[in-house]
Amino acid sequence: MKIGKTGLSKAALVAVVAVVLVVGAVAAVLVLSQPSQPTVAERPLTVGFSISISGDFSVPGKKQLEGIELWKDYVNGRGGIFVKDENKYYKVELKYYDDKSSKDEVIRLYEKLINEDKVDVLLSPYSSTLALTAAGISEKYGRLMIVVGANSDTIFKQGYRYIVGTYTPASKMLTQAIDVILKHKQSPSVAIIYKDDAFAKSVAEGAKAYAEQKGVRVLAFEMYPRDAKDLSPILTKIKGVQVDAILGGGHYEDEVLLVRQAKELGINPEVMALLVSPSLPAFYDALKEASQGILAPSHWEPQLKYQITIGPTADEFLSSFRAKWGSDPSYHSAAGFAAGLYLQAAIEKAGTLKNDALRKAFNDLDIVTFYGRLKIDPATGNQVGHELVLLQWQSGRKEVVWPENVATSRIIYPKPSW
Amino acid sequence: MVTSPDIFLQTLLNGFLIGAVYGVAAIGLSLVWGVLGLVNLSHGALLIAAAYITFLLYVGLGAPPLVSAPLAFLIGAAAGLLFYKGFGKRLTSTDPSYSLLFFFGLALFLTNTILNLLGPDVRGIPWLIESAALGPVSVSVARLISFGLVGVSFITLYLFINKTFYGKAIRAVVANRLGAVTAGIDVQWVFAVCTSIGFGITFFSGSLVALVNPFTPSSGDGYLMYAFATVVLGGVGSIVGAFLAGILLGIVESFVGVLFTQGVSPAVAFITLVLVILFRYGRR
Repeated sequence: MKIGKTGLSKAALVAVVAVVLVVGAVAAVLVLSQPSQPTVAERPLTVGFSISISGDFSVPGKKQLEGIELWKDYVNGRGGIFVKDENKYYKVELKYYDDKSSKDEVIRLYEKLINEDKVDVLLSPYSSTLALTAAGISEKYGRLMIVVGANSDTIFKQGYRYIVGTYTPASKMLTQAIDVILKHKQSPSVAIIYKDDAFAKSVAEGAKAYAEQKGVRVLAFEMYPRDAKDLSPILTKIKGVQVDAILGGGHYEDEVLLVRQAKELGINPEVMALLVSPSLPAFYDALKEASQGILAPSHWEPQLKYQITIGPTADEFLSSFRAKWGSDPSYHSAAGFAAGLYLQAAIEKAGTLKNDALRKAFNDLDIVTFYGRLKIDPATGNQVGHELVLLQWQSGRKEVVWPENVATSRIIYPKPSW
Repeated sequence: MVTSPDIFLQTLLNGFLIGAVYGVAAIGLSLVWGVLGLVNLSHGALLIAAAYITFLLYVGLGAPPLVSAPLAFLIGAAAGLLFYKGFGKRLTSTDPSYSLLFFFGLALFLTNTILNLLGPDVRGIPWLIESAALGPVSVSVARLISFGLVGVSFITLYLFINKTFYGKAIRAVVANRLGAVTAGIDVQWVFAVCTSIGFGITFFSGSLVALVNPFTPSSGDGYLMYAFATVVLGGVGSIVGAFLAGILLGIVESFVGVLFTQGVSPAVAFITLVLVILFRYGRR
């Protein structure tokens, strides 16, 4: 009896071994290729910025900071930001300092954030002046910076390659007011008057260019000094030329004075649209009935409901903001939060923290947050997706009146005679 | 652009009315500077403090500025007296650089106290934001009222300084401090009275500012700048000079704004100032 004959043949043995090996290998490959559970990164993702906690910009600066802090809570509450290339969730940590509203401090602090704190990404400080300064440093080191709380067109005309805007550019801030006049009036005329500062100037120049392009006659284009305590000269001049609309302004004190003196001098335009002060309740308190019908652009209002693609709804944002800070958010807060969401979306899309790849990811990112749509012009990084709304004071209430599809009240046109 | 007589009149009136406010707002600075030799860098901050007092009286008690302006004068006068007893006496006998530092510090302290207590919002008194027609021109009712108050206060002060014995003592100290002492004038007393009146009139003008213009805690700097120009133009220590210089400044600014552009009106106002300094003080 030959043992060899009764057992498995040599060939069969080889075949069995081969099958076992193949199956084992396939199983091993399958096991290895199975995505492993994402882990939590051992270090946090640091978002660095300076913000004006003291000085001229402290009020909007703090409001913006509150929005950013709330975003941090929001994203960390959901486990952090997922970075695909590392298969890790990063918790977000904010690294910020008070820049005292000073350019010199901004230079020092952004150098420090990049070189000493080695933050992963940057947000800009509040205000166009400070953001422009910080943008120079972001460019010098090739670090991504989300520009929030600043919208002077100058920032995006420097050829900087690492900045991403979140505010509608200054040059577009009064174009909707011109649309309003055009809807109600054939071949209208306007006067554009603005305070002597960079922001007001870019708004005024943008409005002038848009008006001329639309065939609106700009009968006065005038600047007034920063510390003006009397605007009757500029208003007397306008009274002499008879315009349908007065557009412009600059800051708080001068805009309230402008409305007051226009009424006192009996100047009655059909539209009066100012830049910043009408969005504050103090505007109404200082003017009462004289505020009736005054228009102003706003980046965001709590009543607005967009079809969101990312982040919380406006109501969720409002209630969590009130719960954390015990006050109502302003558009500065909303934009601060939205800047965080925008960054988060870009990181998740790029799958990396490398700043070059992140900046590239923004180029075809198009999202809608509770703050509105966000999309940039790839070449400059300036914001082109976000749209403003127009507010109007109506019997002591601030209503959204434009664009009409999001309006909370019908526009009062013309502005009632004083 | 001044093509019609109406616009000319309107421009003149506008300038006159704001100029009167500049004028009365500079008197306090001029008086303390001329008599005590102290340059009050906190002048603008004091003025705005009074504007806030007026504002709070309006919001809290509904008191119109017509009532609160005299009250502001009394508060200011009391504050001035206390200030002189507490600090002024010491400041007049130290190096002038200390007093500059002191007033600079006081200005920062006042501005930031207001900022912390009442916030940075723009404030204004929505009382009589109305227009009145004077023939072909429109005029602000609030500014007309403020002009009335300016007139009354200016005449009172003028009579006090020029027609009373006390006023004579004050003028004597402005003219020659040592001479006044030799003549038996109690200089300390004159200093105290002048600080009191100076602060009083500054508070009074702060009340008027609240009546005609909106303001924020940091608005004082602008008023300080105008007050400086006005005092130098009108002559340090001269209340009539300050008043007329204020009106001149207002009218110049108004015409420059209408004829050319308001963007250059501060420049023109300050060029006027430089010219006056050159020709008036240059030949001494």
